[in-house]
Amino acid sequence: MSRSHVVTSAELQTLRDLELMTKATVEGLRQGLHRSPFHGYSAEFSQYRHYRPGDDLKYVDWKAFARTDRIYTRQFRETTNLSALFVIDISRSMDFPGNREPGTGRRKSKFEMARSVGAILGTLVLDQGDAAGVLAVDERAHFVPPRSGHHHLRVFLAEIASLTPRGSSSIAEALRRAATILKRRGMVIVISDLYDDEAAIGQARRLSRMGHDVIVLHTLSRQELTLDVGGAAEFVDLESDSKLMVQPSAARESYMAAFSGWLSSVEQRLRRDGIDYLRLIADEPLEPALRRFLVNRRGRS
Amino acid sequence: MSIAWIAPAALIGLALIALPIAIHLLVRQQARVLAYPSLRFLRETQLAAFRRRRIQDAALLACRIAMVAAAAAALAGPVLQTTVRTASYANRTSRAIVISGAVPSDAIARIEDGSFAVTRLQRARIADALTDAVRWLTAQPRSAREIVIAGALRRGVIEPADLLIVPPDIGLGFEQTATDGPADVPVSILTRRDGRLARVDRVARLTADATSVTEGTASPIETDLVSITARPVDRALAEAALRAALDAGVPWRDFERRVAIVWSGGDEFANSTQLSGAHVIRMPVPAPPSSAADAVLAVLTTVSRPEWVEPIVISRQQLDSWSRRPGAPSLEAPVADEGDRRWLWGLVLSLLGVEWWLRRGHDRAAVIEPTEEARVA
Repeated sequence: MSRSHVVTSAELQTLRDLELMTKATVEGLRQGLHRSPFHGYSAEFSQYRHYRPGDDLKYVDWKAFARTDRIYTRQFRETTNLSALFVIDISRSMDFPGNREPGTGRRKSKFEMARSVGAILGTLVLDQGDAAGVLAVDERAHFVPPRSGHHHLRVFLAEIASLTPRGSSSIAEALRRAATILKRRGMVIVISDLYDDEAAIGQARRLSRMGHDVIVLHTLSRQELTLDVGGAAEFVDLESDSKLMVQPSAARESYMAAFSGWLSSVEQRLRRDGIDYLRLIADEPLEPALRRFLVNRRGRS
Repeated sequence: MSIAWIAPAALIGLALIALPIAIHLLVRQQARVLAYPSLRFLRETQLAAFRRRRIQDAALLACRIAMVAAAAAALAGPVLQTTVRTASYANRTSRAIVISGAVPSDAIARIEDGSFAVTRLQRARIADALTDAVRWLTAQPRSAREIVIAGALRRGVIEPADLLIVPPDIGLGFEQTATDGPADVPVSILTRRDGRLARVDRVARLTADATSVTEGTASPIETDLVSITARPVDRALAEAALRAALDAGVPWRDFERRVAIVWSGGDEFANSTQLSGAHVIRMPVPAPPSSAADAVLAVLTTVSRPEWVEPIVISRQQLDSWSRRPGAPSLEAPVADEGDRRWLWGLVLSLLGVEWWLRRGHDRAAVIEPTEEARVA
């Protein structure tokens, strides 16, 4: 499966100069760009500690000994590679706006955008030598364990391309499984519309407390923000199939107030738990939002 | 109080009441279906246009039904027959003024004064004008109706047959104005005085309905302006007839002609005389001179009678006999202008506003308030 199925080369090229850095400490299997919870003897100085018998004498700071008459051993922060798991929401609510109505033109759905974002960030992760994996859950789990290497990129992208938004399971279930799958601290990137926000935020909080660096990419469509629908219609819930007769012109004002309130609430609850949050709007260019997000994370790492 | 309808057929439109009911019950089926990620922030809009298992919004439906019913009733043109309204109908008069010849404007203004509706009609023939007047009055709002014929009203202008086209409930009036003919007309009478022919110049004074003649001066006539021609055998008889005719006084007016009296057997003579322009009187044989005189007199007066000698206008008595008062306005046939439809159209507009207000209220109530968590946020 070619990566062009889910992301264009132009989108990738514009972000090639960036890395997806973790702001937390992660437990990798080998040396990498990211901070490790362990201290070792790599290039980045971390702290002094009192000499203990058995320490390698080459790390004794003799200048400090001369000044203080005490023996200190230099400690260095160990860096490691990142293991990023992309948890993608494949519930049917992500398949919006659909392209069922003739003459409306091609519009990018939330799921298509989620796939593009996953592919872009996954490619960045793999390109920077880290490990990337995918987890999506519907009737069954679609799981590609995080691995590194360019040979894994094809597997990663193929899995993302094979996903379809027809599931009925919630993103919370996928996060619950992620919590059981991930053995070492890493990064969890959640791409979802978060309509089951209570359970999803609970699971995200759990992952965060487990030490994972959790990023929530909240995918929305412009229509959801503004209820930009003309004329009365029978609204059918994409997931529950429940129906509702709605006159958008009459409902818009209160809907927008309620929806924006909900968005703010979700963001605040996530950020309060140290979870990074980025809102992405389908049909809007990805590159500026992602670039700003990645640069911010690099600054904080 | 009763009610009448101008266009009762329009009441069929009441069947349209079924329309809002059908819309109320059925239109929901026509609403398009839109897949949406989540209905969490939406609540059902209570639109009457959506199908319901039962009629949920009685006020809105009742308003729409009333609106359709009022529109149908307005189209049918109801007329409330109140006592006050009937009395007001009787106190007003629509007038059609038929003008014959030149009529002074102040006379027309006098006729028009106090009319509910008025029109002026002037046609070449009075009959045509009367036909148009009847047609115009029939189309007028409910009121007493009257035709007034104004003009000098000379004899022959109006015939009794012309007036038959005016229905009995339409009144007839006549406004006779002064004639436009000469007030005094000189007239000459040819007569015999003292055995000689003489022309008597008189003055005929014409009034509206009579002609009075004043005695004038007599001028002897030396030449015979009227000669009697007869066969030689009948000449004595003819002379006697002429003399008798002139003694009776023959009006004379600018003519010179001979009168030929021919008794039976003189046909050849009569033919030659006719060719020369004489007026031939054929007399049976035997006939007394008085008969010949009467015949001559009849010929001369017939031929030379000035038209103005008789009264030239229709007499007042005649006009009064033709006049009649307008009948009371009909209560059975309402006319278009008096429909109370304007009130019903106003009601329709008001109901339209109420319907908008009700619908707006429902639309607002249909949208949920922000969730508790959104409020907290």
